[in-house]
Amino acid sequence: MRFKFATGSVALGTAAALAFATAIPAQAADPGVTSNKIVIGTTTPLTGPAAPGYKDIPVAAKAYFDYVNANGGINGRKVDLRVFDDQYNPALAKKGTSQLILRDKIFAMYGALGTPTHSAVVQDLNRRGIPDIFVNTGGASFDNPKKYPMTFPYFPSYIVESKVMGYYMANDPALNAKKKCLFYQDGEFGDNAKVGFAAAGTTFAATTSYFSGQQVAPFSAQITKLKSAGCELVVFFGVTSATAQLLGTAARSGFAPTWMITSVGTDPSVLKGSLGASTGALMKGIYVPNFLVPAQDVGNAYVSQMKALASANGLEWNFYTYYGINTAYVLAQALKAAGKDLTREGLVNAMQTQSQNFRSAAVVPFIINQKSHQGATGYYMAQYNANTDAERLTDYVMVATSSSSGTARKITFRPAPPTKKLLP
Amino acid sequence: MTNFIDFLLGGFSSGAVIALMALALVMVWRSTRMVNFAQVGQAMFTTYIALTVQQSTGNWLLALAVAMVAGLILGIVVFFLVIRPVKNSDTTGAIIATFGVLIALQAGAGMIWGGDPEGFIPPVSNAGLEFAGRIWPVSLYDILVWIVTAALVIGLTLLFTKTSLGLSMRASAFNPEVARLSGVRVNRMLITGWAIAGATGAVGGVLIAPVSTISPNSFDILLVFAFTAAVIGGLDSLIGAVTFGIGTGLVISLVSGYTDASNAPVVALALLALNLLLKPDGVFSHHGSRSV
Repeated sequence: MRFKFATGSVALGTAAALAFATAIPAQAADPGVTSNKIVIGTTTPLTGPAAPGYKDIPVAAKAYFDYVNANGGINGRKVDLRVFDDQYNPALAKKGTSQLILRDKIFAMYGALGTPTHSAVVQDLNRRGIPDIFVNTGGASFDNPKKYPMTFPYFPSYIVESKVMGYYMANDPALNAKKKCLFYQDGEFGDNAKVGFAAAGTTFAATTSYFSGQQVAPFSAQITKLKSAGCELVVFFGVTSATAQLLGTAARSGFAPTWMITSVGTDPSVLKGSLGASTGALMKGIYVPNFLVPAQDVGNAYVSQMKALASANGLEWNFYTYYGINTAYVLAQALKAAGKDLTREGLVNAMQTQSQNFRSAAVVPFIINQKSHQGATGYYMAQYNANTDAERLTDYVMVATSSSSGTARKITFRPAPPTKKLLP
Repeated sequence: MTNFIDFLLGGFSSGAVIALMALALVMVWRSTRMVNFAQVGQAMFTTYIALTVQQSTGNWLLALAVAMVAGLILGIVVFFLVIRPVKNSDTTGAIIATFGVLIALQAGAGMIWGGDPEGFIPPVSNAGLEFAGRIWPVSLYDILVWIVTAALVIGLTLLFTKTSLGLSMRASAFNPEVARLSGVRVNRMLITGWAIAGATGAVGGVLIAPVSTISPNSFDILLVFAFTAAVIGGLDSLIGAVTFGIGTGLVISLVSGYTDASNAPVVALALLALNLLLKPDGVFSHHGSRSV
């Protein structure tokens, strides 16, 4: 398969070279790159049920690229980000990706969001040899360099996340003494979580689930089940709107266990809209894994500069804005590392060989090489305070270097400071 | 055993919410003999209007009243702008057109109010009631929802069975030509039906919002369950819609409680399929035949 791909691109390259040898002097053969521009694309829900929160990511990334462009661009090229609203619908993601490839002629895909949506296009992107950088999902299937040599996840898979949660619960005597239960969203999201907890050796006194969309009505049956099982610590793997329903239903039922919730399910800015004035009280004490410098830590050089960039563009400083600027910053460094003669192969090569030099607000090590495209390897544990800030609890981080095998372990890791003025 | 009672009570409460939406679907069916897939979109839109009123005045009753009026008007607007021009030539086309209206309403709401989910403060406590030393999964607010649902069914049933307006509406829907020959102003009746359905859906939306959240797509899944309930109930039976709306809530609750929630939609659809096989006219339908 890879051999076929290689000969294909050589043939294509030769044909292109023959055709254009006399007409255009020394120019990159790959689409989407000219002497002064790089076109990249993303598919993300801007409208529809999944849009809250996520819709802020491409806007933030665009703000960062505009900032880079205003400061001379990357190796003299300006980044042009094209965004397609796929409404978290796989059919639309397919249409949007085709449109980005055929009409916008993108050089690379960046930050395409969602497991079901991206599953619909990942083979096509790889078949066409289009770099697919920083897929926005924890679905474990995308880290597979053999099958998807062009695809690079960014944040840890849900399997890694549950391994980390399992490790933390086992090593905190107070938490470990509690009767633990699991509540998850059905489908790949929850399935990944179960795989990770099984690997971590975490056993649950009771498990229950909800189907996607069920959060329109209270989780009465599930709460009854957890309550009657005597659960003292409930681990929740669900989306933020379901977290809102969970906290609301539990409060109404007088059920107040210790909560541990997936990193993608607790954005305070979204929860505040649903839970109103009681948000702080309901969120206080929730354990949540995190791998970026805490967003409220304005003394940190990453946070202060990214927050300043967000406010200069009139963007609300929340997890998604932060995340969007951060991944755009890493992509900019990868594009720069790929060199002046920018090619798709060069970008993939830079990702696989130079990622240890890329700076970012992540406080965990990354694994990106020819054998593994894992991305971020783990988390630290944080806990929400009454101001809805997730405070860092552990000075160490917990990492798992593979989704498919092994467990999490504790390490200390000191990230490098940002580059000057946050430019690549 | 207490778990079983809790599952029943919780299911009854979420079922009441499904029943309200099913009622609106039945209203449109009764008046126009078609299914309005935009119903949840109309309810969502009017609930946003209610939310705006509540946020600025703090008055829940006023918010409900404004939503009902808005629902009435929206029902008429949708009927005039979309349904009537299409339906004259093709009922199937009109049903498809309601999907278009749904998408337009969702996009419009997103443009006006944004896509983030918002909470709706209930007029009475939503906390579980304490009784016999434990907290039950029923709140004062749930009881309010039950009462309003019951009142709506009784009111609408009386309207259709005891008033000449109701009779004219049913006649217009069932056989417009004959009704017109008998002196019924058919168009006016169709509009009235859509207006009442819009207001019913608006009440449903406002009642659902405090136990859910409001966002442009937050009621989407309700359409699936409300439609199931309405079809099993026989599409033109108000009591059928409510019975099976609550039934659907109970099924979801019991399945989620005793097995896995992912089985709940499957069980609901299996029941629908079974019903269509055994009694395609619906359990509460009295008509011998119907052409769709």
